[in-house]
Amino acid sequence: MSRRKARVPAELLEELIALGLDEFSDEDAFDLADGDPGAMFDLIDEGLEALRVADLRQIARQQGWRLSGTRRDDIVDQIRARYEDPASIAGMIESLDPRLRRGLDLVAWAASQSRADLVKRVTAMAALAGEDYADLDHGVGAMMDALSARGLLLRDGFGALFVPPPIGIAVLPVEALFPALDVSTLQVDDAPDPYGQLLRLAAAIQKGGGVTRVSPWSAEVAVPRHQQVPEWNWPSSRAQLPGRLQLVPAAGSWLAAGDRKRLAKTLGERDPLAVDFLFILLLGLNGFADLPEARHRLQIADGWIEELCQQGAEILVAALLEAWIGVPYGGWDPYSAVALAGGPRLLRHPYRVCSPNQYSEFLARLRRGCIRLIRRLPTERWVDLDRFVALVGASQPELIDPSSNGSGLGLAPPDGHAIQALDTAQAWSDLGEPVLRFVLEGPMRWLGLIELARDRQGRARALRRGPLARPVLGLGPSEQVPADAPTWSNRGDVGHLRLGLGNADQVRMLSEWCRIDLEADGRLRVEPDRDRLLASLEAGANPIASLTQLRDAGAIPKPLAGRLERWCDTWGRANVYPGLSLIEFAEASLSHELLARANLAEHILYRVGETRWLVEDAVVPSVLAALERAGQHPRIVDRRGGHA
Amino acid sequence: MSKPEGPDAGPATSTGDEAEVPGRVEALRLDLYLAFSHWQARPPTLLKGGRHISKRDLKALCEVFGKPYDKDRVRDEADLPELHFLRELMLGLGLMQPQPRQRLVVSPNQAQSLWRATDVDLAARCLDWFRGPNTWNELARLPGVEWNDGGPPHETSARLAKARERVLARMFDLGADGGWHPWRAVHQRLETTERDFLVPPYRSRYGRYGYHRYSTDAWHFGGVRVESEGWLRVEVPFIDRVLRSLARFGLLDLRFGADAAPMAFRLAPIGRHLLAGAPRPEEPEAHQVPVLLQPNRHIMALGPLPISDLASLERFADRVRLDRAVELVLTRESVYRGQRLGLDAASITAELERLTGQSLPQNIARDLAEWQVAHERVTIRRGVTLLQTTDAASLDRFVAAAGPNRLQPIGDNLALADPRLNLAELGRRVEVPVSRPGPNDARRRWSMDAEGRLLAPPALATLADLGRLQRLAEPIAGGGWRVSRQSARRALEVSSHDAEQQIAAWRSLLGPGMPAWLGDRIRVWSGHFGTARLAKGRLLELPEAAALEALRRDPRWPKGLRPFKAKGPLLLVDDALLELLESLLSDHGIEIEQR
Repeated sequence: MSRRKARVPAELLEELIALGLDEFSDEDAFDLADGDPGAMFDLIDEGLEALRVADLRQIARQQGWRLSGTRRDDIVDQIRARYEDPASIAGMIESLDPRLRRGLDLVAWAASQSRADLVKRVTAMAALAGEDYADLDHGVGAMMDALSARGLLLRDGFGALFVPPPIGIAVLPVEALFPALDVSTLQVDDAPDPYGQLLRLAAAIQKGGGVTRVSPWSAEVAVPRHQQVPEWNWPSSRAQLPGRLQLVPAAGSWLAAGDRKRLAKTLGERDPLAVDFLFILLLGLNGFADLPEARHRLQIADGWIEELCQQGAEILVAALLEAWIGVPYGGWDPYSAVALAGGPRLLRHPYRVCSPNQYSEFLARLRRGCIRLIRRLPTERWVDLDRFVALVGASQPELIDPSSNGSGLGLAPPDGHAIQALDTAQAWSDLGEPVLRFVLEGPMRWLGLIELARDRQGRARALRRGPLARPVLGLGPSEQVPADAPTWSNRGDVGHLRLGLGNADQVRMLSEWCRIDLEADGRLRVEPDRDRLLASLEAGANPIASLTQLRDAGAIPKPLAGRLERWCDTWGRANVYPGLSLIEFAEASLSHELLARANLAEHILYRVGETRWLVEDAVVPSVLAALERAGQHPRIVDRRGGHA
Repeated sequence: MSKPEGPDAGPATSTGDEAEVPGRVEALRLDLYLAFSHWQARPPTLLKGGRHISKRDLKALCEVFGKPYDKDRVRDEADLPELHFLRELMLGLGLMQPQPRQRLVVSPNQAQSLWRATDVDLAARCLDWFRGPNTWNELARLPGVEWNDGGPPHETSARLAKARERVLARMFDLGADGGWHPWRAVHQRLETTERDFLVPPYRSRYGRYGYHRYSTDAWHFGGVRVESEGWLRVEVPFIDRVLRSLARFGLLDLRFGADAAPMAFRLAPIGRHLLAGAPRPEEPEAHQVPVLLQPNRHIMALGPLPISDLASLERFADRVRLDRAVELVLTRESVYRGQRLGLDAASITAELERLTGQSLPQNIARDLAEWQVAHERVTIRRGVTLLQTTDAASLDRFVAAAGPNRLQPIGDNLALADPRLNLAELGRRVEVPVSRPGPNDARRRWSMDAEGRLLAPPALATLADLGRLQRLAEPIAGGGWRVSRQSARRALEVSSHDAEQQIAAWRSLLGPGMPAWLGDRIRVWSGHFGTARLAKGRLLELPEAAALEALRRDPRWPKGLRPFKAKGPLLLVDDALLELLESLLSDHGIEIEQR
């Protein structure tokens, strides 16, 4: 099967696959395009295989494609090839009449669903999408049938309708769903700088002698001694409710109040939840080591900063997302944050199975789903936040529903004696909206996946794609974050810079020949180091290439580049070879005779003059046997430990 | 010491038909030595289970000790308990060490101290091993009993050691007086006073188990159906085996009856010393055994030679005979063996002169001196560290900075380094960083121009690559290397590298930058396509095989006219094309053999 060239770089692709960003999910089939192109076309194959030959011919007729042959496989192959051809894709979309074209927008937004669900969701979206889409409040089923007849909606093996991924990629984002928004009256937040904030937090912790971690559980939860995470069914939990329902415990901050306050002040962050989030990310990135002399004290792990700097931008982006997605139950999650802010609480039915581990998986699923929403945001424009949240609620209410597989999670209704399903409109309004808003305004903003604009009251009104969005979608490095080049001292022996998305690759190159330390203000101090440069050369890296690249980009002054090149030139002028064996002959004639007679040439690594051979130590037994066969009785001096 | 309770068989009395065998450590020492010297030359292999040596090794060992090897009876080493015991003892004494891949290798250094140890010390070491948690097992292959052990080995070992200790204690009670005691006295003592010293007896259905059921510690004695049989078929043989082991260590004197069964025992002097706290017995005075070295290189000892001397001689001489007299012979190979152990002609001469008390016969002294010279003609120095620099001047700087005798130059830019020398630190001092070449280092990669000349890499070329060039290329006057027809032929003839091997070696040297033409040219130069044969004559082609068969049946068919099958591509060559073909084949390195 032919595969489209992946638009994501191979390394990032692997990372994204590891993150599960390519995971097939009912609500977002076309995002497979960002992960595994092979899987994307497997899905199309599945859709075409489900069709009868008559349906396939109808698609071809509608699109004006000529088919040759009568064999089913040949017909499927010909139609499938159209989905691989960008011109055909464009033609399929452009040939639609305006109503069908708008219908396709909404169907692509709502993604894969059963026919009935899709009709319901498209109808709901049409009501929210403005005048342009008003004519889709009726006749949606017929509209979808028309799309199916044109091959723009296929049916997968489970009976769910889906827009073929190349079509979805071409349609999204649907700019027309979001009228132009003027943000001149709004206050735009500073461009997010997740790396800078992380390093400033790390610097504050490192220079402040570490932080104290505390139990994050609220008073309603009894945590057994010597245990960090409460068991879900802990009998002494005060989360018991009438009817044997249980509150899902909400986890708060892991930081001691004093430390939390100090760190927030250092970071200039008004929202203490941001400090908690960054702290948890640092944990997820393995940034901490326990302090052996004090229980519950954490300090930045030795060498962690350097390790971070040795990653390029792509790896750093993936690592950040992985750290966020992987934060487990009890670590830090939006349901807890909403609950602790006075919002609704999740309940658990005691007779259904929902273990903490499963709950952690639900959280990861929610975060992945929210990352996928970036594709639905217009490329550059600001959009109305309320409208965006409402559209997500109408098209993908299951996004915030971790219990969609029937694990028994729900919301408490006013009487508190029953459990309310999470896939209802009321549940979306009560829980979904606050949770999605929190994820958007909190973690996704802090990570730089989106940017926000606020009104005078500080309420978020508009959002757009942030600097991390481009690399996450595999569209290349961010253009929104200017690269911070190092400022060098006059002699060029010390430089300072901030690590950011724009210069992560430069920092990685610098790390090949610089010692990197963290300053108190979170900036990196880079100091050229000859031993490190030589070690890089020794390890088979090519620091000279990165050196040239940095010099050409003006990131290092010419005198420093000259010095580094001189250091490079000294490398490779003396080699050491441990563990060899040297064979010495009393006369050159003996050496020549044995070389000719004893079939030894293949064992010789190098001949030193006429009377000495160097061989690998491992071949000595073979060489010795050959020499003995040739009538010699060699003397063996074993420097590994006495005579052999 | 309190008198043991229960009935006693009483002191043993001699009937006159019995044979007394005094405990002799020297016999054990000789057994150990014979097994040791045999396995030094032919290290045994453990079977996969790791418990027994292979049957092949077992058979060879039987030959050493002159024991019959019945292949139908011997299932494994446990069926030859004396030899098995000896090997376990050798492992316990450190005379052998297990090595990876199931090999057992003897330890010469450990052996030297053991051969020189006094009788008491050797017996004490054996006894220490015997009393400890070793892997020897007296319960294996009890006659008529199938013993199964479902427990962990260390627990079995500890339990057996505990039971042996009980036997030793009872024997000490009996033998402390130094008198003879009936063999069965120990059985009776233990049965009366410590019936459960080895296997807890059956008590009740819900209590402890006996022989015929798995006991709580997972022992099961298949074949013992009745409780009363257990003592006679398990404990009594166990006690007998313990006593025989002690006798083998020289701790017991034994008295055998006419049927060769042991009738009585007593503690030998060493046994009394080690088990009953008696004073240490005096070591027997070593008497000088005359040793002769004959001009035919045979060494004769007229009497039992001390094991330490025998071991010393066998380092460089081959044993011919070992009975009352000992005979060995010096050969070139046996002396080479000694040389491999670190001996030289002087030390061998000194050892021989010490034992014989005379100077060496002249011919032997001359042989030894010649062999020593021949031995030193080739020296293999293993595990050396080499330093390679760009030039002699740079090497001089390293040598000067390293200090005297730390770097020994062996070429213009190569030196042997003292293993204790920190070359990385030395490189920092002389400001030339020292690196260890890796396999895929782009800066050390050679390239080749269109003329086949090698272009040196920016960094210092590695010895491995230079060695490849020595095999594959020819030096150019004034420095450098190039590939040529001659170099390809030489690689084929001297290094036995055929065309494909040469191409693979060039690929390792040049990496992806290897010129595309090089492979084809190497094939041509090294005659990769072999030799073509040009034959003159007339070819007759028949329409079908049946026609040929019919012709061959005709009596007029000339003798010696046989059809042939072409081995390779066969061409019909017009004389006019011959010259062109010769040139074409030559260009492809194909020689023509005229017929």
